[in-house]
Amino acid sequence: MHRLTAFLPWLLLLAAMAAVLATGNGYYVTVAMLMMLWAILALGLNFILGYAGYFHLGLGAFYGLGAYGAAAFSASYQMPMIVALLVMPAAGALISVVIGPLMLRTRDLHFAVATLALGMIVSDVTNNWVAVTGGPMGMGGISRPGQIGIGALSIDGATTSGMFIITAAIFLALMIVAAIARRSDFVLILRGIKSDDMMTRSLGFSTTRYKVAAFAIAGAIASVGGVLYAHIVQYISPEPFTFFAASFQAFVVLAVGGLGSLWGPVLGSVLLTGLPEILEMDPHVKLLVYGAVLLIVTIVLPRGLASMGRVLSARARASANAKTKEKQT
Amino acid sequence: MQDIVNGLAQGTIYSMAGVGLVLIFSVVRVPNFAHGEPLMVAAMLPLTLMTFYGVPLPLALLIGIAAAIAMGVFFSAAVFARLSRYPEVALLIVSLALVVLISSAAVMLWGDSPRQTPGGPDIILDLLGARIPIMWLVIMVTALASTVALDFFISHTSPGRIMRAMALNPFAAQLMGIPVKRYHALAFAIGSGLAGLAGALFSLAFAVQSTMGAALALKAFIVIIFAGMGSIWGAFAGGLLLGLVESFGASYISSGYRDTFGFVFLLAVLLIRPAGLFARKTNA
Amino acid sequence: MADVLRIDNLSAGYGHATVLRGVTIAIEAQSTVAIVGPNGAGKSTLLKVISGLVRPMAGEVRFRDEDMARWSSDRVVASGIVHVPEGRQVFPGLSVAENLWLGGYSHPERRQEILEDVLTLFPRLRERLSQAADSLSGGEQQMLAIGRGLMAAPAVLMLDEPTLGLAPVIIDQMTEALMALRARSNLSLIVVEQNLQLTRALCDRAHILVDGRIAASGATEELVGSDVMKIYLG
Repeated sequence: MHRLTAFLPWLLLLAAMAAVLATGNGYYVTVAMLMMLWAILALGLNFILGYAGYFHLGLGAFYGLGAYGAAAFSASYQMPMIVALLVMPAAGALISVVIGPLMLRTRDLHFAVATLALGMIVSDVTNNWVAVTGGPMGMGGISRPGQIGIGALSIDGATTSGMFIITAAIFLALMIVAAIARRSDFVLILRGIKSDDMMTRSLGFSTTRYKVAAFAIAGAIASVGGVLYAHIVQYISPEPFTFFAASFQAFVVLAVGGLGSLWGPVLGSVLLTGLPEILEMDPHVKLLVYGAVLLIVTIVLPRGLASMGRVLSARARASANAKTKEKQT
Repeated sequence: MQDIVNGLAQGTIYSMAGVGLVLIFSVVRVPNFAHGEPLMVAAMLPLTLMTFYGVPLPLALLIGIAAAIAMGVFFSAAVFARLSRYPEVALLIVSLALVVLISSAAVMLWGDSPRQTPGGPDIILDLLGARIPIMWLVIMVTALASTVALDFFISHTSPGRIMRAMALNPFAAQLMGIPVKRYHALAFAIGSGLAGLAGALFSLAFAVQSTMGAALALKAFIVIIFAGMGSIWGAFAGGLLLGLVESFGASYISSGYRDTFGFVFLLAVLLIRPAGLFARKTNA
Repeated sequence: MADVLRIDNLSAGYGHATVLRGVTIAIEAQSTVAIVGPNGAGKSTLLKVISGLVRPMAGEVRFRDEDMARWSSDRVVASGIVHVPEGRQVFPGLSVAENLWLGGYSHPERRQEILEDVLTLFPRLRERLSQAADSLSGGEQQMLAIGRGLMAAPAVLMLDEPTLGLAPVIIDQMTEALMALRARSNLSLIVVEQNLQLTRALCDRAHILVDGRIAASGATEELVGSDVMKIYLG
């Protein structure tokens, strides 16, 4: 019985994806792709923030890294997307491994400020290093992946639906990785670090190594997101990778969905991407609503949407207890 | 020389913001990322008051600063005081949410383009080989004077002593029967007021815009991290240092990267001395 | 004699952990009461509930027959209940005089008068008025903490482990001062202590707190050091 409930969310997810594809509506399909992108970012952030408890506010830097790298490979060197998909996460991970040990020496607030600064530095660089990044004008001419597969089973990346399938495949792969990772010793140790770093260290674990690994994973996954973004939209500029446009939103998606949960990123992303689209919100209104939602969720549901089930059932139990106590007295 | 003057002028703005944040952070222990918003409001409001309501400049500036103070009290009473039993994590998130809320509202209200408050004195002095607009001198003198005043307040007045006690041992302070929430609000009021003063003066000399709050809050944090979180004069010095770093960087390397220098400097400080340059031992 | 403090079926704790379960105590006015028990029994938590630092989950706390469970800590102090916490908790870097000054926050008009009283009670503090509080010895800091509590003109003074970690000579001095306080007609004392000798000398009544519950209450003479106590405290 337990097994069945475990598979249910996956089935729902697949069904939802199939349904979106079936509509054939370019707009819906694109929105669904954006939802997946945000879920990917939140998923990556989960490793360093949700499990290890470190406030990485500079994920946009890695998101941008992936995107600009993909743009360079595709527009400047005419390489297929797969190259960027392999190289950029490695680059993101490598950079994280290099700066990680230094950055992770700081605690909570300092780390948050440091990653914030990192994000802003990268934003500034993308805006100013015109020769490489095209400055505020950005880079265009990124081509979609071509035909993949053989004959009847082929997917044409140039079409919206084709791109959707490719994105969905990568997204599902990452979700599976996340699901497996959740049960691994690695994540268990990260959780130990979150609850008591010193204690974990005294148990013999080199906490720095684990933290850097989590930081690197977050960076790598965000880079994958960036590559996808570049090939979906086919044009990039510094704007989508700033703190407000990327790091903050990924943060809200994860916080609202539920830090440290598996389905949190998906739930958060669906709500926070879908709702603004349905309501056709102006980007500034959208940001304002994000801020308000974050405020409300933090106060009412400190553990995010994914915990709602737990919170509701805990409340139900508490009131049932109170009722039985009344009956007894 | 011009670079030094530029650096000092901008730097003292950072100093004022930083000093205000030190006060808030030591007394209330809240990582107030929203500290730049009162500064922004005091920078943007005067022009609107002057053009749409014909308010004269001095009054417009005062109203802007009053608005900043009101925001600070609001943050304290309506937001952070109610969340005192929440983990620090949540307070961080809440203050980020406030930044987004307020700056988005500001952009909807005022648009995103840079502007300046007109009407300041426009005499330019030629001193020691540099061109110094008199407004910059006003800013520097005000920053120094307000820091001296705050220092005096903290060390020689009753409320100041109480706030010092709260910073040293919040647990014991509660047990003295000190109405902690009242002094939280006072710390926020003074700190945000200083930020507002900085913003109002800044708008007379430099360009300001609705989205400036976040970067400025980050710079204020940079300043207090330099100073090790507890030191008012350390924050003052840190602000000057940041201003100079930015000024020289912009001049000798590239002006587009102006903000970046400060951030890089911050990273450098954090990585070398994770506790800050002027870190003092306080009861955490 | 009327009860100055009454606690009825109090349950309290932190987050999901319940530390006190159904505690009932009545404290008579002008009495001196001891709360004893093993570590982790909830003694400090009990004091924190009374002083308003911890919210009760269930039960009542009444001061002079007023329900004070929801009072803020500043209201508690202003009403006359003062909590001198475990571990001195002086304000480091501030002088002895400044620490005492802060203690008098709730009764500023009586500061001078009470200060004289405190300095007479603890002459050592008079010598060290301008010294930084954290440069004092352990015993002196404890005296400062108690003096600071007295500055609030309490009707009920609660002391959490006042002799913890102090040398026997200092404990004797402390006992003298505490006995003087006990003799005051307008003061009720609640003392959480591990030092049984002091408890017997100082307190009329004792309550044994074990695992968040009151295991026994009675006259100190009979209870403290008795077989009953040995069972509970092992």
